Amino acid sequence: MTENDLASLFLTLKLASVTSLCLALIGTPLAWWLSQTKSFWKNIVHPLVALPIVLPPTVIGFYLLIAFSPQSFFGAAWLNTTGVPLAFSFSGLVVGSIIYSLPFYVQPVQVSFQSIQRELIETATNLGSGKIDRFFTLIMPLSKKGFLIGFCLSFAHTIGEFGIVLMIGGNIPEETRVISIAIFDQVETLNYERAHFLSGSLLLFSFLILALLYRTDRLWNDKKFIYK
Amino acid sequence: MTIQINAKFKRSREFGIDVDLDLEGNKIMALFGRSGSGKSSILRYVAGFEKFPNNFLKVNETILQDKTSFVQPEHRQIGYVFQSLNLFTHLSAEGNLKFASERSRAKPFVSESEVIEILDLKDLLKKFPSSLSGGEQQRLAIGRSLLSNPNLILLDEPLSWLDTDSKLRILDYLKEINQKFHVPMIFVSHSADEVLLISDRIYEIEDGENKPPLSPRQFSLRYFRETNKTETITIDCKVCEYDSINGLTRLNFEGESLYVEQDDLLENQTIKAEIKTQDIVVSRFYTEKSSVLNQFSVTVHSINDPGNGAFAIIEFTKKTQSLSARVPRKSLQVLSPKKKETLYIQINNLTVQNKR
Repeated sequence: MTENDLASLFLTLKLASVTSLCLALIGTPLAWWLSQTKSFWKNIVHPLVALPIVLPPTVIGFYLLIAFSPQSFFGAAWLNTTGVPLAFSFSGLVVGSIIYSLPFYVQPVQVSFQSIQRELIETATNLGSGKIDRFFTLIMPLSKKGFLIGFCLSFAHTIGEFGIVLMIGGNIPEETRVISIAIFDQVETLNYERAHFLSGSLLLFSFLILALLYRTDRLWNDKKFIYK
Repeated sequence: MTIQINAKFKRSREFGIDVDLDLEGNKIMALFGRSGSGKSSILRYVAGFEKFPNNFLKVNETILQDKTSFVQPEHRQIGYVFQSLNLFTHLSAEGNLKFASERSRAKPFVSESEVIEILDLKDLLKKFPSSLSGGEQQRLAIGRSLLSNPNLILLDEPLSWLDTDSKLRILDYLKEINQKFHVPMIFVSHSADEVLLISDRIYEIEDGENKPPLSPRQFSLRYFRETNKTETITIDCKVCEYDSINGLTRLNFEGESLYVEQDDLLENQTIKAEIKTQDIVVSRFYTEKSSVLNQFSVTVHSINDPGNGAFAIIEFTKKTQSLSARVPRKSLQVLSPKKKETLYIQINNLTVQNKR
């Protein structure tokens, strides 16, 4: 493994970790709101969250690129506060990845929240538990499966991201050249041996994450079974 | 301690609640009525989960709801044992108890160890709710609500999941708690037996409205004395045809043939047939080669055994209609009828009112 490959690998893991953590912070309240609200806005927000599943990454990437440009309101505001442009930067990649992986985190967590009986929450309320307390002591522990699935899927999905990165990040070593881009690079220069190695690693890694996820999920189910 | 509940609200276009209930002293009030009559809605209202304007609710000199104020459910200090119990599956039995005691607003009137002792929870503490039996889960749920230091405990059909032995045990526990800690209770049930065993003051709820309160004695007279009297029930039948050879008219009652002597009934007319409840014989099997003409299968709806006297009433359904039979209590031992099972009834005497 060359130094460049290592840097790409490290960058990829860093991007996936930062993205998943940000998603846990942004996506959890969003999932809770979606699971509870009867507001009209759900009709708009719900499909918006799911859009990245169906849209080609290039479409998202294209709009993000426009939003990131210093001519746009968002891009200008970012440039003014941080001093660096968003496009072709690591921060830009994080913003793109959050949007791109949002449904993969929000949907399993939202489903978990929805599966909690309303009466169970009312029981906690009746025992003197307030809103915030209920969320941390009842709803979160009962939704741990949803959190695990959401976190793993968004992490794995970010690792496999390509289209958006290409549109908004380009190919800058140690800044935006994630593994998927490095593989593309190697194939383009007909360097199949390196491409094989990187692709194989990514394949194995993704497989391991999913295997671990399903195993843990099964273990938690079995444990429940023993209690019965 | 006084409790005053005035509630008037609509849950849906068709169904509303309009009740006016009160309870003096640390007693047990029962809300008695069929399922769907609005009993649970009243409990939800008292617990603070139904917020409607212009209602009035006062528990122990504290106004929980009136025109201008509404105390949030988490601040009400009202224990609520739901019918579905709602134990927290991610916590052990002990964790469930702690959940309540850690959030108790004031110094609890009862300690965790006392609750564990009274409700016999010691051996369950480390177990998780899903490994507990129905009776154990029920005791745990009651214990948990006690530890939230309630001024009032609401019990929604707390015995519905239990067998008879556990039922009596839980009733004893509830009475003990009521007397020892002076906590008033509102007990919701559709079973007249349970209500009579535990309550001091009984409101019958029908279609969301309450009838005047009854004392246990009045209630018992009303719901249990009828078993000794004879009653007449009516069923709707359709006239089929007159059989002149045998001198009988055949009627159709929900697909079964019944025979009466009258010869002057109009064919295809729907008529009312009267049966005295003591004229119905109940049996487990169809009696072949017997002199009884009117015999058919029915589904047991309920068994009303008053626990004393000579007679019990068994109620049946046949498709959309209902029948009831007065049988000797002694015969219940042999017959051992169960809810929803199929039995056979023989009607010894059937009279028809001729509309003509």
